[in-house]
Amino acid sequence: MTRSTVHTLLSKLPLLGSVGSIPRSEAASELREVSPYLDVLSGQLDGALQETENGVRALIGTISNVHQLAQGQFERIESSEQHSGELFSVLDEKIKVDEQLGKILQMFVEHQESEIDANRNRIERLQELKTLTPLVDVIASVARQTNFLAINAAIEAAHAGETGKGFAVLAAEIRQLSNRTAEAAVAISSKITAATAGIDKDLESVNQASERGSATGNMRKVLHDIEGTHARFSEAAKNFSGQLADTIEEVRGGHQSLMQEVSQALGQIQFHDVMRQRTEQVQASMRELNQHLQAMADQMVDTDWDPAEILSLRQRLNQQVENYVMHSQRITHENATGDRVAEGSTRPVIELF
Amino acid sequence: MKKTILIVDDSVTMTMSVKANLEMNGFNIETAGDGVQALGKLSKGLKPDLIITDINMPNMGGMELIKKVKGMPGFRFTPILTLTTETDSQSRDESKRLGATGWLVKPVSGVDLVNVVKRVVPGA
Repeated sequence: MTRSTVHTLLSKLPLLGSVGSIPRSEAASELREVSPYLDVLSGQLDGALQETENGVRALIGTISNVHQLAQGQFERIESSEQHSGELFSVLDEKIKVDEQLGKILQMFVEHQESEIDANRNRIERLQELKTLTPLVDVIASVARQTNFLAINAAIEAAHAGETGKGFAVLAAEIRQLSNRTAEAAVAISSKITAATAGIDKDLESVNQASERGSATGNMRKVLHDIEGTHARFSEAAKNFSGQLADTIEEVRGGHQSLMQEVSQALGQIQFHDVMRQRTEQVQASMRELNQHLQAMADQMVDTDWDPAEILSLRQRLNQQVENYVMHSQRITHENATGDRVAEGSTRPVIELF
Repeated sequence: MKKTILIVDDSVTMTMSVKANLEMNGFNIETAGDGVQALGKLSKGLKPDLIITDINMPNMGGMELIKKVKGMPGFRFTPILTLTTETDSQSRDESKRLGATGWLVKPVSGVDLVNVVKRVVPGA
């Protein structure tokens, strides 16, 4: 209804007491029909309010369900985050243990290789004993020749007779010395042979150790491969952990935004209470209008219109202003009537004292 | 420990929406349909950390409730927020005089409501 329409109605209402060609009784009877008419309108508004209330209740229930589902999902994600943290902690421990094992294995391989090298050096030094064999042969040869010389000297001493007796004793001593030298040379040769035979056994052992050395080489290669795999695994675990943390952080941010939107939606639902109160105020006005029209009907039948006894519709409308509690109600009144009824300045929606 | 808030409103949809909003933000909620019911709960031992009340309610409105609660032993310092459709300055000033902590006009944004509640409830 526009402002001009309202003004037209208001200006015409007092004239109803002098309805030209329409009998007063008929006009009064018609006014009586306003009462059930307004009852129907009020009932329709009640029905509309009830339907919106049912809808709002269902909406709140749905929003609450959405919140519970979102909260449940978020709690499951947080639980997964906790379990992932425990898993990564175990993996981290395993990585550290593997690193320690790798170091120990590397130390073992290096020790083995060092032992083999040391043994090889020792055997190489012992092998120099073989070079003594020719020297022993020389000593034995010298002993034999000395023995021959001593024999010849003894013969010559015998030919010399009494004068050669001293020389014969000396020749005998030299022969005895050469025999002992020859015996020593044989003994040394025997010892060298025995020692050389031991070195050969040691050499065989070293060769076998060298073959094992190739095994440690293989072990070193395997160790290198394991270190490579370990590094890739460690890097992958680190990257995955970081990506998972980023994803969970994004989910956490999204969840907080979702909760804020849900909170906002629940706040916006308050519109229903505002609408309910404004509708109830309209229904109260309709009841008042009905009372007014019924009073007019009474006046038409029984007595003349007496403004002193009965408030005019304009007066009743002005009284409505006192029943307004919302700024929006006053603004609506202003827009319809042109009367200034709203407060000059509005205070904030939220005001803490 | 969760803070407890008593919501007093004769509108079922208002009670439901505010209750749902504050519960999902970690508060424990009690409700009453008017001032009489609210006083009944308080006299039976309910000790809320905050009361949020409507103004226009049957049986006992928000203004009378504020006045009575502030006069009850042990509730002098309990913060009370009004959550109402009323925008009238005189009503606001009257609630302030009676001891209300703040005046909120419906509809209030859900996030703003939570922020205000956290501001006036000690330790929330």
